[in-house]
Amino acid sequence: MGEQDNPLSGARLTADAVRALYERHGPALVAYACSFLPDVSAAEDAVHGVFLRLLRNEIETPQSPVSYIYRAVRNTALNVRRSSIRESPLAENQVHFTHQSGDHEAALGLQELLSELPEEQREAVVMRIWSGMTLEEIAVSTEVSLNTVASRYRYALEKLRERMRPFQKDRAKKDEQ
Amino acid sequence: MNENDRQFEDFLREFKPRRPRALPDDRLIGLHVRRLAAAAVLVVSIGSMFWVALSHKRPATQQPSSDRLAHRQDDPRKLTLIQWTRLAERDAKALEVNLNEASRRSLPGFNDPNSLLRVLAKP
Repeated sequence: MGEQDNPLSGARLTADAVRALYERHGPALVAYACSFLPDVSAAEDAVHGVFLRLLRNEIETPQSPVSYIYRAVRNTALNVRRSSIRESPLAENQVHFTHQSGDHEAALGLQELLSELPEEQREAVVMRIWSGMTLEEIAVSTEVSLNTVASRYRYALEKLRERMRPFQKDRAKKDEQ
Repeated sequence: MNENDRQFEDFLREFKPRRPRALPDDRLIGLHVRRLAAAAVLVVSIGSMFWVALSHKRPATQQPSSDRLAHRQDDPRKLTLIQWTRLAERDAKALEVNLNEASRRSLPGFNDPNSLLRVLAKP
């Protein structure tokens, strides 16, 4: 997903380009927003709001639209959280991840672990795993050095691997059977 | 990145974040903007109509002639203090008729320093 072959980069995005971005990054952005907001629908509203503003051409995006959108979603989510009168904890039954083989418990576990990660690490993991960005692209997006992003990502993977190991072993056993 | 990292990345990719609801259709977004524009035009039009109507009405209420006041005999409650005063100055007969009519509906106040009777009693 290099910048040169990315038709989406530029000051003004066409409606098709915005929709393409939404298709590609929408789910990851909702997962990202969920770490700031108490429920999935609020996270979805925050993501929707950013994309609607893009569709209405109300905002100009810089060279890298994905990083801009991540920033915009984060700011919108934080504004929503600040303006809400009461903050409620994440409801246990609100799952915003699904596992391809339907392992509900593992999905909930991953969701909980992600929310426990420091913001920068969580951002790196979401961008890399579910938005398919390279570490170089994440570095450009987050305006930090490649080394910093690589360390953040490595620390996040280590934490997740440690805690997700039981689920991973279960998966391996099921696959063997 | 070693092989273990890649395997774990693949494991993480087995989890899919929930798909958000679809964005609204382009035409609906355009419709929303057009609706807003239409509402703005409507508000401006109605505001202008009110303004024109009020600005035409104002001179008529500011300087009522005694003839016009006399024609208000059917509802004297509509007359203001100034109109009563002018009526007293210009047309005593019409004043009498209006006072008679008003007295059937309400009595003027005696205690208020700006009461009608006090004003009329001034030399």
